[in-house]
Amino acid sequence: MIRIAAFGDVHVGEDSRGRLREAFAHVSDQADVLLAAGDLTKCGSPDEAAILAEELAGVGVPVVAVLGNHDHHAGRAKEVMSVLRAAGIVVLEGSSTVVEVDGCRVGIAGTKGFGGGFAGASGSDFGEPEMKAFVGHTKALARRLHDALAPLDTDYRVALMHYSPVPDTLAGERLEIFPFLGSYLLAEAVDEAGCDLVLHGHAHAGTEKGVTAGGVHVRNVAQPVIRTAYALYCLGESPAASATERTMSAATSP
Amino acid sequence: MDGAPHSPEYLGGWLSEQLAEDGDIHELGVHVRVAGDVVFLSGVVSTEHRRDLVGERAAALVPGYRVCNEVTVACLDEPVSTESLA
Repeated sequence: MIRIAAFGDVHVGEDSRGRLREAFAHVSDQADVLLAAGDLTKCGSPDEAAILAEELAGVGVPVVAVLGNHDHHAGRAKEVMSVLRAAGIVVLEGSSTVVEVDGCRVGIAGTKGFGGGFAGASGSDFGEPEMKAFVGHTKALARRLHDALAPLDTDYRVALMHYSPVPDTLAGERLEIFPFLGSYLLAEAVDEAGCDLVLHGHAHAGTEKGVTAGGVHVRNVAQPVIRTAYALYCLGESPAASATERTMSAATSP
Repeated sequence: MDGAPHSPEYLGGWLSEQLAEDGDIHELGVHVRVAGDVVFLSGVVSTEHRRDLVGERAAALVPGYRVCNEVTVACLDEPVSTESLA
C-alpha cells in the first residue's frame, strides 16, 4: 500500500509566503509521498521556486514534481528545477523515480506534457512550422513519458504530468480550449506502458476524476478543482480497508 | 483604455489577454464576461492579494465599465478523506 498526497497549480508568488507551510503541516501523517503536478510558480522565476521550496521544507515525506506552463513563462525553467532540486525536491521531465515505503515500491514517471486535443478532435503534425512544432512537442514528451514509465519494475506506477491526458477531467472547461489543456497522446503513452494512476493539473475549471481508454485512473489535482490544499489517494489495500473486508467476510461466511 | 477594442464584443477577449500577460498578474484562469456596461470577473486565484489585484487592474483597463469581481481564492484546507484506488 502506498499513500499519495497530490496537488497542482499552486502558482506561488511573493504573496504566497506563509500560506502553504501551514496547509501542508500534516502531510506526513496522511501520506507517504507528496506529488506536485506543475504550475508551482506564478511566472517561472527562481525566486518563486525558492519560496515554494521554503514552504515545503520539513513536510517529512519525499516530494516529487513536474513543471507546468507557468513555470516556463520566464524562460528560466532550468533554474527553477535547480532551485527545487537543491531543496531536495525530485523534479521529473521525461524521467522517473522510485519511492519505497515499508517494502512497497512505487515508480513515478513525469513530464510537463502539452496540448493538442483529444482523439478525433486534435491537431496534426502538418502544415505550418508553428503547428508542427506545437504537435511535435507533445509527441516528443509523450514518447519520453512512455519510455520513462515502461521500464519501472515496481509494485505500482504513477504518471505525473501537468497537462491532461483525457477530456474527462476537463469537464467544466470550455470545449474551445480543450486542445490547449491536454492531449490524448499522453493517455496513449500511459496505456501502452501500463500504469495505476495518472495525476495532472492545469484545468482549473475541470473535474477531479477521469479514466483513460485503457482503464487507468486519472485525477485532476489542480487546487481549484480539489478545493483543498492537496488530495489523498491510496494505491493498494489499506490496513483499515483490509480489516473491514475481513470483518465483512467473516460476518457473511456460512 | 489604451489598446482596448472599441467594440464591446471583443472587450472580454482583450481583457482576458491583458490579465494573462500582465507581468504582475499572469492569471489565465480568470474568466471575463461583458454584459452591458458591467465586466464580470470569475475564477479561482491563489491569494487574496491576487484576487484584489485582478479587480483593480481590470477596472483601470476598462474605466468606462463597472467591474464586478467574483474571483475567489483557492481553499487550502486539509483533505478529510482518502480515495482508495485498490
